[in-house]
Amino acid sequence: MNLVSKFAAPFSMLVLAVLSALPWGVPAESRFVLPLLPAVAIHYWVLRERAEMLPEWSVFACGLLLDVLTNGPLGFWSLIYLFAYFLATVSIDWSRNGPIARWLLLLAAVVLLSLAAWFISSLYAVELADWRPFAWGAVAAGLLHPVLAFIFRSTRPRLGRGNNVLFERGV
Amino acid sequence: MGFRGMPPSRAPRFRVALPVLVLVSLGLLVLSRIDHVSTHAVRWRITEFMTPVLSALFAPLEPVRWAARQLPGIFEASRELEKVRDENQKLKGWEWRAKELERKLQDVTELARTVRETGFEFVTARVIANSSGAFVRSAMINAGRDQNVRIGHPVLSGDGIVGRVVDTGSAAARVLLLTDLNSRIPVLVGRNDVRAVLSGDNGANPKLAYLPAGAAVAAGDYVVTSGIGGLFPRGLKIGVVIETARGLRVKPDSNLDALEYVSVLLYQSPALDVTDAPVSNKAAAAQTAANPRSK
Repeated sequence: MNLVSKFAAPFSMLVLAVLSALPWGVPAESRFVLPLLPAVAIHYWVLRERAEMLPEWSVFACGLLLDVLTNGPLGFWSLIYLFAYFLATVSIDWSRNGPIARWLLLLAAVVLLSLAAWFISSLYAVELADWRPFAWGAVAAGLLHPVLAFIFRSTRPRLGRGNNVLFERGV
Repeated sequence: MGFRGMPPSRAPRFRVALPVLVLVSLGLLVLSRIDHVSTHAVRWRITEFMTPVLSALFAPLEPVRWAARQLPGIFEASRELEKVRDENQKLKGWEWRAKELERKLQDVTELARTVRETGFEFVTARVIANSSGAFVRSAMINAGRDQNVRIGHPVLSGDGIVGRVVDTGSAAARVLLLTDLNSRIPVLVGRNDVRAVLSGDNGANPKLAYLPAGAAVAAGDYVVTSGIGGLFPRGLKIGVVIETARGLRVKPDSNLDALEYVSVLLYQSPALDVTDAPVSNKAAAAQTAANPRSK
């Protein structure tokens, strides 16, 4: 396996985390989708590639980095990303049923992650947080998944035809 | 064969690392909630490492950010042009009145021998990161203690106050925006200089708290800093009162979601220069008795 494909998973997660902290000029309520993009990347890499490509400590470190850059409570996004990792790991069985199944699994994971984020932030603030930005973030992350999947796919190594891996896994 | 007949590399596996890291994350959350001092150190070590990385990312990403800013403007170009023409017309009338008032104020100041307020030094910095979430409304700038930025310094954009510095590293600082839940700024509202406190609630338009009962405040009134408390100098522009479904709110003049460059006012409140310690009557009498020459 070449260097690009070996480090594509943690690198893409790290890049998305840093990009989500940059000032894009997007209104605050619409920015809730940005921290969910690394979670989409985690889900993709665990489902589509070997889980060893994305060690748990890198998921934790990515979440911690985002907590620091956004001045949020330390451990919040680490917890959410580790939850995303867990959800992806337990749904590997169903991911073999094609790209639609994988997208539905991702949508379900994003909904659960947004619910978890809303719940933990409400618990942290000791009052119910506004659910609408979280819902918007979940919808936007689900819609952006095909775009991210296309970009991630381009970093995968072209395996020999003899393995038939591309035909087995689908597009 | 692996789990359920699957190849071993695709089988789910739960190593010790996952639950341990979950526990560590929960521990960090608890420490952050109680604002433990160790979280500060961790935060700033990582921030100062990432500051040059974030600053370096702006060069290649600037075309994308520019396009994102232009997009809404393209659709509103003609309406914006009309609005700007109207504003320009009104401003021309105000320009003459402002000059007249300035001249009168100068005359009155000389007559009353008022102490002149000195100008402020400032540091201009770039916004390199901002918060994205439910907890805070803050921004990170690439100026810190090395540039004389200190905690409490007011921060302004070209349009008015955006917040104040709440944390500093050597080369970066954290700015608490005026929309943040923890932001409180003493202000004056409208022509009658009604005193209030501008309180953020993580929404786009902060509210006016501690308004006196029956205060004459209406939509369209301007809001400026009052100078009370010593954190902000008096008279800095904040925004305008608007009517919303939740009552009177303040729409900031600055677009807090699109900050690029900000100025940190190196403002030291005059009240902090007072060095005479308060002396009680008993202590003063004892001092006088001990040293009669001090009378």
